[in-house]
Amino acid sequence: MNSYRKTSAATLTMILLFGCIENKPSNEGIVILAQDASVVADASISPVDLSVQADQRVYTLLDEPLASVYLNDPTTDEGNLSEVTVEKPTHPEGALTSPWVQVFNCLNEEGGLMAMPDVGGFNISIALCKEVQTVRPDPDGHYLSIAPPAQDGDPNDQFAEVMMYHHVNQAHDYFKDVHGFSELDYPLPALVNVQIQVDPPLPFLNPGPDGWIGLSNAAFFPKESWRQFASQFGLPPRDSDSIIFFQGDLDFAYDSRVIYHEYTHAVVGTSRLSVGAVLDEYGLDMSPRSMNEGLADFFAASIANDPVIGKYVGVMGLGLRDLSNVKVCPDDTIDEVHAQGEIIGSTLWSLREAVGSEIAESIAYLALEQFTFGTNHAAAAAVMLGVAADFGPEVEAQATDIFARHGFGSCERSLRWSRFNAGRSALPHLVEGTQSAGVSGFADGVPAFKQFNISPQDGTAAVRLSWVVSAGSQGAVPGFGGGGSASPLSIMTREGAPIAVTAGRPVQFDYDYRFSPPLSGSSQSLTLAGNCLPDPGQALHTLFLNPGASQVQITAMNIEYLESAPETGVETCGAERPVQIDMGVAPEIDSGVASDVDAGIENEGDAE
Amino acid sequence: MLPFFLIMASFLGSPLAPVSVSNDLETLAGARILWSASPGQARVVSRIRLPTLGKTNRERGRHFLARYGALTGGAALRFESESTSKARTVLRYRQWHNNVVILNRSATVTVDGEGHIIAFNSDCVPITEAAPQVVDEQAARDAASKAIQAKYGSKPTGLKAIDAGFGLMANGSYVVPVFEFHIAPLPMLSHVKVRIDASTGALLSIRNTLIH
Repeated sequence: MNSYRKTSAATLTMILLFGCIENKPSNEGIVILAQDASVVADASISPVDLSVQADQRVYTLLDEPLASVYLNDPTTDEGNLSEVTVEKPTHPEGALTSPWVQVFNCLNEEGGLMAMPDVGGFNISIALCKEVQTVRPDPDGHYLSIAPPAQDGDPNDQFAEVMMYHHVNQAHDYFKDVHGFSELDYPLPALVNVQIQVDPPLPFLNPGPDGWIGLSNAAFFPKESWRQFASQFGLPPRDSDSIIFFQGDLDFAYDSRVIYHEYTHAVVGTSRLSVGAVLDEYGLDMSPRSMNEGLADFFAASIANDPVIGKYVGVMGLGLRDLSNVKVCPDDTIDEVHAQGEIIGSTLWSLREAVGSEIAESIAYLALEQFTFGTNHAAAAAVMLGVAADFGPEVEAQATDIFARHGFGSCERSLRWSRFNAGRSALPHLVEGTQSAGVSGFADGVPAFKQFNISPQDGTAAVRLSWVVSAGSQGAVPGFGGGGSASPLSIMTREGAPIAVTAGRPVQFDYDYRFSPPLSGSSQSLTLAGNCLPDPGQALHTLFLNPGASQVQITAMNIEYLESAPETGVETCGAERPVQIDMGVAPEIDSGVASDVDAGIENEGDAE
Repeated sequence: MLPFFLIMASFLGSPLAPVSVSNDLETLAGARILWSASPGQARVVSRIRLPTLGKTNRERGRHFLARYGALTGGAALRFESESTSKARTVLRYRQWHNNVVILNRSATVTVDGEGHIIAFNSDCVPITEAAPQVVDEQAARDAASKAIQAKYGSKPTGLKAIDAGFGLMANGSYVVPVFEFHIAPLPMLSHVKVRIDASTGALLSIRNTLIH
């Protein structure tokens, strides 16, 4: 039992002791003296009289208190607040605790939790902001006096608490009332305005003048992680999941769809769609975690009846993601879970437009319930179509058609090899290493998340492929983790079909040739000619492999079709094309080609 | 590319029907089945409405898995939890091998309000090879500490206080033993799960546990 549970228990005690609270007509007040919760009177007694008597703060608790919130977010609502009835708090003083959420403000002041990790041999201290429920009702029992602060970057504002309280209750009621979901029938801890302070300051974390570090993000915090975190630093345990909203220049708690997104992560929990990567016939596959994100987007958008996620916290009011933008597999197979999650997100949005929100949401939810740790696109689509069939043949047919149009569930994960630069508009391609993939059994290297194919035109004598690699990074904190030099990648080719990957020990690959071009600076290149190239009309599929330990990012790619083959540095793959090469014994060819990949490739630096 | 799914007009006689299945699978005629890459094992079975024995949903799930065990190739599943929402209950199972849980494998059986099994979804494949454990918990803890220090430049204070999780990670029909530690290199901002391969002592992965 932790402190939050104790608070809940106290609240329940209050309700039991004063059952009349539940029976009061709307907005008929209950007055509670803050410092002695046993002193309670109904509204027929003047609050003023009581406050005079006790010289204590007096709180009026209403059955249907009012508050001002953004129904969506400051951008969508053009800065206009709306007056809403919020869930009646169960906290004896009217702090923002309901049966479904317990909102804490994380104040930038002393008194928060302290941690002292040993960083590189010297000690630092990390002060967490102080968790406090700061909001109390106005004297009339409403919360209408709490308004947005002058600056959205205010790290202690109470308005964030009100937004979180209202919208988490909304999200809970949606999943409970519409879908019968009951696993979050407890006061989910929700933290707003979260920042930390590090002493001495770590410059790469960009602390503010007061030393507090802001972060523009929000997260679902599983209870098992919190439990271990508490053990690590000797902190009080917390026996439930939680959601945390950081405070940067913008306040993520002001965006209702971000709240719905994180709440949906809590609905999904850790027993579904939690595997970082699975292996399928095309390579590693991050579709389980990406669907976790995509479903969080879909439910957030559908609840809001607007396909745009993060209109306020995104750039220039455009939002972070717009599910009405059609995303398909394989073209939009991007190696980042939120971005790749748009495939299922936009697929379900298309379904919603075709069959209506009620049916689309039911299909998504009833399928989600059945998902496993590693449900991938194919399995998810099969489960969803099974559910869709329950709504009749017309819905099933519509879903089948929409899924096919999005390549959802039936996708050959091989993209056309094209010029590519990671930068502001494109994320790098990733190739995990043996110590980052999370899967064992890679004797020959870890395959990338997707393949690339080429189809040379007639008259092409050679094809020059080139790419730029950099060391990968993990984690949500810029500059924290990662770095170092990237190991060179190998590349496999196969004509006429994608390289086939088979799970097991070792992981096996069905391919024609494998090449390991040397690293020149941060670039690798490979020129293919002769039998290395496919027959006319055929595609040549390629798959990157990382034989190194750490993740590698491909930040740029280029392809050149040459009318004549260079005299040196060209792979011709012998006179005869292999009919079938046994798995694992295909010839590995060190091309010996060392050249820069500067021709036409602009490395724009760090990807976002 | 593997076929997306099959509508089973008749299970026996289908060219893709696995040879190892029991005759009970004949009762799945009309089912929609997505087959696993492992021959004979199903990933998803839907469009079914199978009566089962048992008074509780848990008993019904057990009966279904016993009767249609061929769908998982005999993978060892243990009940973990059940959740009920409108008109249906989802039973959740974990795959085990030699009394050790497999961390990345689970399955669900869905029961409707009348006690019929209406769907099955599974990551599970039978295990035929397991790497031996040669690394003890302390060595794994040291390896996790070194991995964190190498990646973040931060020696994880308090690691001794963290409970080690132990389980298996599967890749196809092969499993390796792993120790698992949840560590906060930077509290509130960075919380990770470190997995150490207990058959080699090597780092298997460092994953962010905060889901954004």
